[in-house]
Amino acid sequence: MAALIRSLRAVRSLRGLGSAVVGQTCPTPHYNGLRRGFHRAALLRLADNPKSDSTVPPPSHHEHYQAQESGGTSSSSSAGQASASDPGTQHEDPQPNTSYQDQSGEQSEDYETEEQLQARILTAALEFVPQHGWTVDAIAAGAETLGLSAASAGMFDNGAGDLVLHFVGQCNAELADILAEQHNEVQLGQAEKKKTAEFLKDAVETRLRMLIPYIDTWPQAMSILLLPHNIPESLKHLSTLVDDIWYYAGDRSTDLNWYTRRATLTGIYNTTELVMVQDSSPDFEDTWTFLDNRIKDVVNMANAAKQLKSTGEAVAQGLLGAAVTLKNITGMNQRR
Amino acid sequence: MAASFRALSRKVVRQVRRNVTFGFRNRVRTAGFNPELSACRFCSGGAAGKSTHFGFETVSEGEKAERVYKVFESVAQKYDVMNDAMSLGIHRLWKDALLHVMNPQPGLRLLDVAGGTGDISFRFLEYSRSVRDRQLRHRARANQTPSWQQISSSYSSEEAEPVDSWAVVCDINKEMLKVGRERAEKAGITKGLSWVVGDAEELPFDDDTFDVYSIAFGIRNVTHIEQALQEALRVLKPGGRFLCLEFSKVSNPVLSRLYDAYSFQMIPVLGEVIAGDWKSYQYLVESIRKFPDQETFKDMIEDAGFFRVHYTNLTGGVVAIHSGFKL
Amino acid sequence: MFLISARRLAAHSASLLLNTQRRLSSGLKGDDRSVESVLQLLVCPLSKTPLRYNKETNELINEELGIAYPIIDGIPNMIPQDAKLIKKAEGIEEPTQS
Repeated sequence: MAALIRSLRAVRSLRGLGSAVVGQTCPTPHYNGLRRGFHRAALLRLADNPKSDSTVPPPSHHEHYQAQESGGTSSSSSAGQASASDPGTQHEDPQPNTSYQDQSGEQSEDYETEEQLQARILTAALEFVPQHGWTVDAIAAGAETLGLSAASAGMFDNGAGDLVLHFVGQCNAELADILAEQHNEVQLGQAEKKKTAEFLKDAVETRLRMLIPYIDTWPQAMSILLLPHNIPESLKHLSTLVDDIWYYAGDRSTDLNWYTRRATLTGIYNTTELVMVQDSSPDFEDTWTFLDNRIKDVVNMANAAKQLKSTGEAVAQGLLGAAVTLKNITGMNQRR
Repeated sequence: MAASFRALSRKVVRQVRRNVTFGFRNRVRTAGFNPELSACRFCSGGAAGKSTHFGFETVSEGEKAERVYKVFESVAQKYDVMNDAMSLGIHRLWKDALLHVMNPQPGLRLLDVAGGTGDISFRFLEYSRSVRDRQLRHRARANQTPSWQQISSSYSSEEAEPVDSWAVVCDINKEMLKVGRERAEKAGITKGLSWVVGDAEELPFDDDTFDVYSIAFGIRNVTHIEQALQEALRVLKPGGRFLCLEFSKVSNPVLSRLYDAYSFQMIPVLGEVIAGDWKSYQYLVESIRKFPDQETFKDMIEDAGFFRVHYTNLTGGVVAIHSGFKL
Repeated sequence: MFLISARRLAAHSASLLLNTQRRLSSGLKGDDRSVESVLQLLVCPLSKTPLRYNKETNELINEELGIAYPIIDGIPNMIPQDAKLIKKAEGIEEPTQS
């Protein structure tokens, strides 16, 4: 019995030694990246192809895997495998992002980083938000749908905050894509350029409509965004959003206008969001009416300001003219 | 496909192991049984030439496991009392902190290695139970005014029966487990708790079995830490979490000196007074000093194949919680 | 490789099914149930193959390697050093100290 254990431990240490040796011959981060890459891809395909357990793995993949696991040491693996592992490793080295084919011919994705995996878990977790709210429970349920244990929800130090911020970032990115597409259409002449007020209204409405599936739990999300440790991130998302909208609205100002425009749009967006949260009208009609009114107000104010300025200028010029005339009359302008 | 790759590799490795074990029967017959086993183990350990540390002593690897066993065998009855006396009760806070970091959802399976008297498992079950209560309360509150959609979906769907949390306590020493089981009975915890005598370096569990693997104040007693880490990786499900609560290096020099003074002067004395065993507690203190520091241990965990390895210091570095994920 | 994996899968599922049947059919309570429930998780620490529960002798038997792990006082002892060999050929079971 003791001899048995000794021999097992010897085998295990040889294996460990082998992997250490490989680690020294290959550049270590590269090797680790490959290993991680493999595990990631394995995880991806576990998620993608749950039924393919029964398929026979093609021999090339077999070699590829042997190259990583046996690490080129003898242990008790047959010589045949060792020779097969060489083409495997040679195949591996030049291409760190190996994409290989399934038996079914599908292209599997390249290996993903931890951030991508986290993003995938959070996206899967959004499905469970109506049921669990914006909590770690939703993240755990999302992880389970990907085939991971619920314990992996512990990866997110900020818990529910991570989920909400991920969602907000996702919506903002979606909006930016939509606006870019519309911009392209206008450039190509397929659509007409909208007026600023209308553009702003449409953009804000599109963005707020993304909240509709989660509108019941949105107050909880808003309160999470207002937590002190989340405020920097949420402000960053908000400013990105407002910046994108104004950019695609055609604002290229470089003066004080840049700030005033963004400030007003931020105000409009936040107040409309609050209205939307307690709006019970069909398809949120009241909210869009409110939004419309606010934008009209802003436009009116802008017009009024412009008018005020031109009026003021006109008045000032008039006064100056009067002063010059007076000076002429009294003879003070003449040079003697 | 991916699952079959991983499973395939494991089968290859197991086949390797089996090829080796098939020859063992003959070897054991000639080697004889337990009466000579400890001697054989000692001989073989000495013959192999590999030595390790037992506190500040250097011993052969085979000897270490046996001596650790004897230490815990003798302190088992007074283990909890000694913990309270030595750490002035702070060990309870450390274990509570471990559970907070774990933040277990209900329905998870925990493997509490070197769990001994079951402290972590009791807390795990308690925590899961309170989370489940909170979830049920929240759900009841949300369902007080159900919408038509909710009513119709509740008719059509059949909610799967909620899985209960399960904690398996695994320790190399059955005296500790016996004490733990008595404590459980006294506390009235019956469901969801199992006790197994097992070696952390050779766990008697199948791959991908557990959601969380925790080892609290046990890993410094393991002879081959890398092996224990690899076994941990093996038995965890994908997405599973590895948590280790262990004594570590104090960074603050002032605190470090106080800590050293306390450890080497007070603790063995307490050991003699309370448990009647000065040497065991001398071993305890020395083994803490020999354990690698936070960063080194973090590297070891990463080398074993865990991802997102982080550690948090408690009480200024006296204790550290290391966490890693199997992704 | 494939054949071995298929065989192992079949063996594993068969033993799992057997264990489940045994668990469901036996109306145990209390201590026995907690032991039975953990038995479905246990495998041999050496070869990682599933074990057979022998109720009479209260042991977990690994047929392949011919070793038996005792269950003492309701706690299975899975330390390889403490397991005992089952010599089927000679019909003698050597006792061990655990």
